[in-house]
Amino acid sequence: MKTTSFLLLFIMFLTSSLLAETPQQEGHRVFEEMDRRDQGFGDVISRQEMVLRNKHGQESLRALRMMILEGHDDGDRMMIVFEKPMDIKGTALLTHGHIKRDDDQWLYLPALGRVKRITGASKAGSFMGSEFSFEDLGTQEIEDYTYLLLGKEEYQGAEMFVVERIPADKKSGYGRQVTWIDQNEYRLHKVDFYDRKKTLLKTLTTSGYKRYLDKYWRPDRFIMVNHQTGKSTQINVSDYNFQTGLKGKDFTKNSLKRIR
Amino acid sequence: MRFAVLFGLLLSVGSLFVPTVHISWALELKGNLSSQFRYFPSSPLFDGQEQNTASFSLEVEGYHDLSDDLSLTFTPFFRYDSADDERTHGDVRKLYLLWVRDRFELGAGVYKVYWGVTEVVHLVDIINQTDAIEDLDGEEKLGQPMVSLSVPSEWGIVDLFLLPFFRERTFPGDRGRLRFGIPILEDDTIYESGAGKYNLDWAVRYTESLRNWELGISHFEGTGREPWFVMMVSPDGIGLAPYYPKIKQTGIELQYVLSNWLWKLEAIYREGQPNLESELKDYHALTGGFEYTFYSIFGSYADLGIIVEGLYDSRQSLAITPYEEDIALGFRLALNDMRSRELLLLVIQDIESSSRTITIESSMRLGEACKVGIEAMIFSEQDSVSLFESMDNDAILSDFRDDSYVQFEVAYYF
Repeated sequence: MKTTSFLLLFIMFLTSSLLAETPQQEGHRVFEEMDRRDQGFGDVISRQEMVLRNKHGQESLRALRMMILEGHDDGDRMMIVFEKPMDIKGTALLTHGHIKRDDDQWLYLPALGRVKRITGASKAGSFMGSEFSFEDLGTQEIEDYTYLLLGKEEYQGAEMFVVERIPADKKSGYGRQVTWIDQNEYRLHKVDFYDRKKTLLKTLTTSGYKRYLDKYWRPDRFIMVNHQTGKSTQINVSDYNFQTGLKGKDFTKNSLKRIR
Repeated sequence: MRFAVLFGLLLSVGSLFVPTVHISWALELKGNLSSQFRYFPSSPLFDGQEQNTASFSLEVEGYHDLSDDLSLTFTPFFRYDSADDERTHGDVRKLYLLWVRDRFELGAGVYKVYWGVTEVVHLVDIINQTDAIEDLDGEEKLGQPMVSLSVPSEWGIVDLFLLPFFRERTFPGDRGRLRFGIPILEDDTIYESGAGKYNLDWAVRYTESLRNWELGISHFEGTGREPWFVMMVSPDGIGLAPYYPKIKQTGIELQYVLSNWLWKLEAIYREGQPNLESELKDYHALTGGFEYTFYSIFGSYADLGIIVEGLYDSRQSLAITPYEEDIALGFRLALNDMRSRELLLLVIQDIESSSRTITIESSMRLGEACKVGIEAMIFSEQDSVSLFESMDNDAILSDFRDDSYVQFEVAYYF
């Protein structure tokens, strides 16, 4: 009798682990599916405007161009050229993203004509005084996080996955993130960012999703609100251009020096 | 009817001969207009020097794509200075045609090229002459006429430079501060090369990034950018004539990046440069150290960088540089706020003497297009005997000993 119940339990455990996913696996699968749907975009150029607001409502403007080349064996490559404020116009940042090691980053300073290698460790640092950090803007790899499906709920009239992800990198500024992803198209709608002490720090919301090349969904607005300081940053993307023919040679130190 | 047919025919034939080159005429302009005031608390050391100075400068960069792979850059610069006629000067920083192909980049004209990795002293950087009258940090450069070729490959980038025309270093005039006691006789400039300023100098540099490493190896042959001085008697009295020797210089640059650390090294080996005793002795010089950055300090967006760099010159007391054995310590605070407020404190201390220079720089943005900056330069514990009297390298800054100053600057960017 005892033996049979053990056997029964064992069989039940075996089938459940074979048939049903754990919440960890489910969370991982959501992001894997999201990543899969975005594969093959090749390259994308976008023009972005950042509006920085402090808690008194004062605003400051940043404008930039961003070029991304999809990576295959390694991380993506990214070039950011600053257009506003005027005193840093022409300054450019080149990032070679890597899986499971620090990104390589170079900064071009046009006044000196100098290309400066900088540390890729500044993940948690603010991007140009905005509420976005380098890790929020940088390209992200599946391996950068561990995942957990917290549940499914309706958000903004659509059925969403609610997935927690925890950064693997100790240099990340976050202890955990809770993400809302719609079940139809696997688009990211909202992220709650918690700091290392697991206190709610920031919330990102996206809107204005459009489909490019009949496949790739991109929002034209990102709003990041910092709950601890009352500051916020809104990114308006005026333009996405996919598959423009960018190549590896457009993401080198030489191209950084002459990018406009 | 017949005319119409003929006209149509002419049009279609004509269109065969119209070049189908796509020339875009988009001219991009940017630049800055800046006003600067330098306040010197101490009275001038030498006759004729003005107490304080006000100046303004204008730099405009025009950029123009002539075709998909051909571009033209033109950057004129001008400064007016209320005290110093020599500091009132103009320069073509860039007038450069660049042809970019997949396999190479070919450039011709006047251009600015930066080499090096360290923050305080720039040993390897040799293509452009220093516009020394602009600033003491050696980072302001005069435009250099050149033909340059850059060839990227799997194993790094090779750059070749032909430099057919020499630019003389700029020096302050009689009424300017931050000058030597003995006047510089720029009209009596002497060249070792028989071709004078038309000597054909050349340089080659190889650079490569390998994971956490940045490597650069360079070689230069031609008229050295760093002058030596010859005492001369002119109708106006005793003066120093700049003498530019023919030199050979090999340099290396090395940088290693590991999480928050940047480790840096620059070294040169130079032949042909006379030392303070007029001997032609080969020498080497090194500078290196680290920069460590604390990101997001105290939970804010501010970053604090600590810079430590050592400076060494094998000529020791016979070097014509104040930095023959010095240590530099710097703190760079960037608040990363809306106004991009920044503060830099840099102390350069001579190891053997008490000679010390302190630089404090602070800046912030006003509105969307203006920037204000305050800079202080303090020459502390400098010898009171001039270099040309004591033959002691620590004395090179002694003529500046009363020239500590505070500078206020407002710049408008467009």
